[in-house]
Parts: sequence; C-alpha cells; structure tokens
Amino acid sequence: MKEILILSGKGGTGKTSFAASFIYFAGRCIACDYDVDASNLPILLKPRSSKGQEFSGGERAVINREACIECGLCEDLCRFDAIREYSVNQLLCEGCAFCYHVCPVNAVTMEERPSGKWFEGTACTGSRDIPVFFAELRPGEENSGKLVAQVKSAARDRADKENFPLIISDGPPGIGCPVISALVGIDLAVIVAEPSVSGFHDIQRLNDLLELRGVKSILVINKCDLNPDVAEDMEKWAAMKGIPCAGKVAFSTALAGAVAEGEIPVTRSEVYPLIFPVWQKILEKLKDEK
Amino acid sequence: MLGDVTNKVRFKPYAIGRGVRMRIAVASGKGGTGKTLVATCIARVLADFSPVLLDADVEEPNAGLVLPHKIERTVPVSRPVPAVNLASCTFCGECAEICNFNALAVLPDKVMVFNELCHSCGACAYLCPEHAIKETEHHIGVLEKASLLSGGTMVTGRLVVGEPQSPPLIKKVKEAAGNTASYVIVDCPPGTTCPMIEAIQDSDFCLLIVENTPFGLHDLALSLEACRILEIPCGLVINRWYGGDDREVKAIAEENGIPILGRIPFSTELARCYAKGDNPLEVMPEIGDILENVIKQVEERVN
Repeated sequence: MKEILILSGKGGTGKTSFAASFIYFAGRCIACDYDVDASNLPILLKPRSSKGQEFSGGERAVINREACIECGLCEDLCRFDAIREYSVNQLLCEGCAFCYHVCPVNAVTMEERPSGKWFEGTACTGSRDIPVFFAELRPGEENSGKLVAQVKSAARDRADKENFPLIISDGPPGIGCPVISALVGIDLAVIVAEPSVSGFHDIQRLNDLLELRGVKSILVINKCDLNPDVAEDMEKWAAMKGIPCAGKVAFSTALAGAVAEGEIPVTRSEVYPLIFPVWQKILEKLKDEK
Repeated sequence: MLGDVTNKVRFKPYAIGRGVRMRIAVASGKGGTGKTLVATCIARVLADFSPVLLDADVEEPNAGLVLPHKIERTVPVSRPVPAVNLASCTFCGECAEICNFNALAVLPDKVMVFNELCHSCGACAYLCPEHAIKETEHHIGVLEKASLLSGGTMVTGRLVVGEPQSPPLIKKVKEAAGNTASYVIVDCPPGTTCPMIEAIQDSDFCLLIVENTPFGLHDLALSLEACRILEIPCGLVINRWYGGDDREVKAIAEENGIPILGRIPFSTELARCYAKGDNPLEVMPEIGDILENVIKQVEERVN
C-alpha cells in the first residue's frame, strides 16, 4: 500500500480540488483529509453513512473550588497564564498537569478533553465506493497533529485489512504540527503551487521540511497563467532541486465553477483533460519510487 | 525588499479618526482567501498613523513579500526544554511519569528528551526529586523587526522549518508590537485551532476574510465559532466578490449577528499584480476606499 499526500504550504492553491480529482482517477483507493481544522474534501466527495468517533486531544485541569485553599501556587507556576483567580481558562490550558502535581491540597483534577471527532464514510465516485476518512477538530482546540495521526492510523488499518493499494490524502496548509504529522509514512508528496511571490516562498519552506524528513515530492503548478515569470522560476527551481514537474494547469473557470457547485472538478468534461495528464505523471513517479 | 518608492504616492488622503488605539486581527478559516492582501493594504491605508503590522503566520510569513520594508533587527526566539544532568539523575522515572506529552523517556542509564513533543510547561524541572533537570533554550525561530517604506513598522515571525509548535513564537510576535502604536494589524495563520487562536487573542476586533464558495462558507462558520469562544467582536470582508448579494454569506452573517463590512471585487488584474508582489492600491485604488470604510466601521464598533 502506498500513500500520496497533497500539500502546498500556502493555503488556497487548489489542494482539495486536485486531491478530489486524483481520487476520482485512482479507482480503488482510500481518501483522507488531514486538514482537521477546516476539512473541505468531504464537501466535494460527499461521503454518506459517516460514523463519527470522539477524539480527545489530551486533558485539561479543573480546580475544585471547595477544596482550594487559594494559595495561588498553581497560578504562579502555570506557564500558559491559564489560571486566574483560582479557576482554569479552558482555552489556554494545555493539559500539562503541572498544577495537578503541585497543588498542596489536591484540589486539581485532570479531565479528558473532548477535542473533536473523526469520521469514516463512503463516497461514490463514478461506479466505485471509496472509503473517506476525515475529522473535525473543535474550533479553539489543540493537538491537531494527534488527530491527524488518528485519522491516518484508521485509514491505514482499513487499507491493510482490505488490501487497498493506495491512500490519497489532502494535507493541511502550512508547515507546522498537523503537516509534520501528515508526513509520517507517506511515499510521495504532491506540491500544488500557485505562481505568486508568496506561493513560491511557501513551497520553498515546504520543500525544506520535506528534505528534512526525507520525503520525495513532485510539483504541480496551478493557475500557471497568473504569473508566467514566477511559474518559469518555479520550474527552474524544481529542476535544480531534482523535483519533477507533473504539469502546469492554467486558470480554468470550469474548474472554479465545479468547486463552487461542490463537485469533483474532473467530472466536468472541460476539466478532465487538464488534470488527467498530471495524474499520469504522478503515477509514473510513484512507480519509480518502489 | 527595497524599491517601490511609488508606494509613498497617495491617491487621496484617507480620513480616519485619530487617537484610537486598537488591535485588529485579519483571519480566515480557509487558506488563500486574501488575509495578507487585506492586512498589508490596511497597513498602506493607515500609513500616516505609523501602524504596526504583525505577520503572525509564522509557518509561512508572506506580508514582507508584498510590502516593501527594511529589516532593522533580527532577534532569535527560543523556548525552554528540559536538560537532564546525568551526574545527579537517579533514573527514577518520575519526570517521564509527570510529563503529559511523552517528551521524556527514562532508560536504565540515560534520559531521552524529545524537544518537538515538549510543551515547555516546566513541570519536570520543578518536580524532579533530585533537582537534576535544568531548562535549556530550544531555538524555534526569529523575529524580524522592519520599518515599512510606506510608513510604520512590521514584525515578522519566522518559524524554524521542522519545528511543530508555532504558538510560542506567535506570542513573541504579539509582544513585540509594544503599546504605543494607534493601530496594530495582525496577519493571522489560517485555520481555527491553536496558532489562529493565539494570533487573534487580545484583539479588539477580528476581520474575517471570506470567499463565497462552499469551502469558504464551511470554514467561515468555524472561524466565527472561534471568535465567539474568545468573545472577540468580528466582521466580514468578502474577497473575490463577483457582484450579487452573496445570499449564502449574508445568511451566515445574519444568523450570527455579524456585519458584512466590505466587499473586494474579483479582478484578474489584481490577482496578477498581487502575484508579482506589486502594490494593489495602484492597480485597484478602490481597495483603499473599501478598506478605509471597513476601518471606520470597526472603529465605530470598538468604541
């Protein structure tokens, strides 16, 4: 079983549109959305019969006011400014349990923190049923990396059990905690880049991360007509870094229109030929990575 | 990042009230909706008031790419992580027991510290029965303090690639704003979890940049929830507006009692200009008017 992860550094470059399209092309595969902050892949894949499971990202402290002697030790020691007037601000509490350990009268308890849910559903693309794994972290919660790991392990279990050859995953933006977690065990990262000064800057930082983690990658330049000069610079940069380019895709109103209506872009006949060759290149690269 | 002297050229004076001191966060659940466009254009519009622009998207800081500036100072930022003195350690395992993040592993003859898992809470150092743990600094990024050629200053946080925890650096970016500027504008990271929460916290107002697409609407609902939890008043700015009355955005806005403060029309020319890193106010001067109006409404609401 192999896993492809779609990344971009900068948000809004077209990760989800491409991920959904690749899933449509792939045939037998499992789909994953690791953007647990703002999960958008299900909007295009429309999985049904999703069952949700609670996820706890950690613990949080609760002070029992009746037992508390108001010594203030916990407030002095808390590095997250989460304790004020002998009560815990749940948003600021990181669940380190420092207060729990130091309280002289054991007035602090640690409670499981419901942080979100993860789901396993089934989408129907073309004639195939595709298992879809995704999650929703509650706004304001932390530990997105842990939730990503949870989604990943559920997807991999299913792939192992039912012999799925491929997992295609939509990644989160940025290069921080959830991205680092999403990189674990993948075979190829597909970088969807937009040719702007910020888009270029962001894939360079993303590539630094991929090199650091020893992850192979392939580049797709989306909206390549936005700035042909930057697009050319990107291609040169990729060649220098030894990153193959799977293709350049011009801005397409048909693609934007499909997404606006919540449809997988390549189900539109105008979009299909734009992305199919890109997918072919990615498959070739994946074969080489044996 | 010098050049673009034309930035100084003002198309018309912006009439914005003086003397209000406030911090405005520019955020969105979805990435790529135009946070940095709006934040940097607001910094240009408010240039006469020497605004402070904070680039709090420390994973991918982009404001400096589209706003001409001169870096005055670069300050390293670190966070404390445990360092075990093996001479006094008895390998009792207490620290590993205490650590809620599995950042310490105690073996018969050594202690392993996983810096990337450590949350810098300090519990292990304080509670070690042998006082064998001291804290040492773990480098997580830099703060770049720059002067903006258009007027004002900019503080950029740049996270070390591979470091998973951005909130401690975002906190430092916010602290570097000082408390003398009339306007502090925070360009936030996307999402609705810890980095975004850290960035918008303590703001007087949060501008949520929205695009009217299924993705944009889905993520808007989540960012509204984040603002609600933090009790930060917020308003919407619709970007890539194709005309029309934005029924879908309006419905969410009304349901939540949130105002729509402005609309930035879609323009291929604007997209091209921004992709090059040029000044959007030159290609589309009306953005200046739109955002001036947005700021006025924010001021009315904050006061």
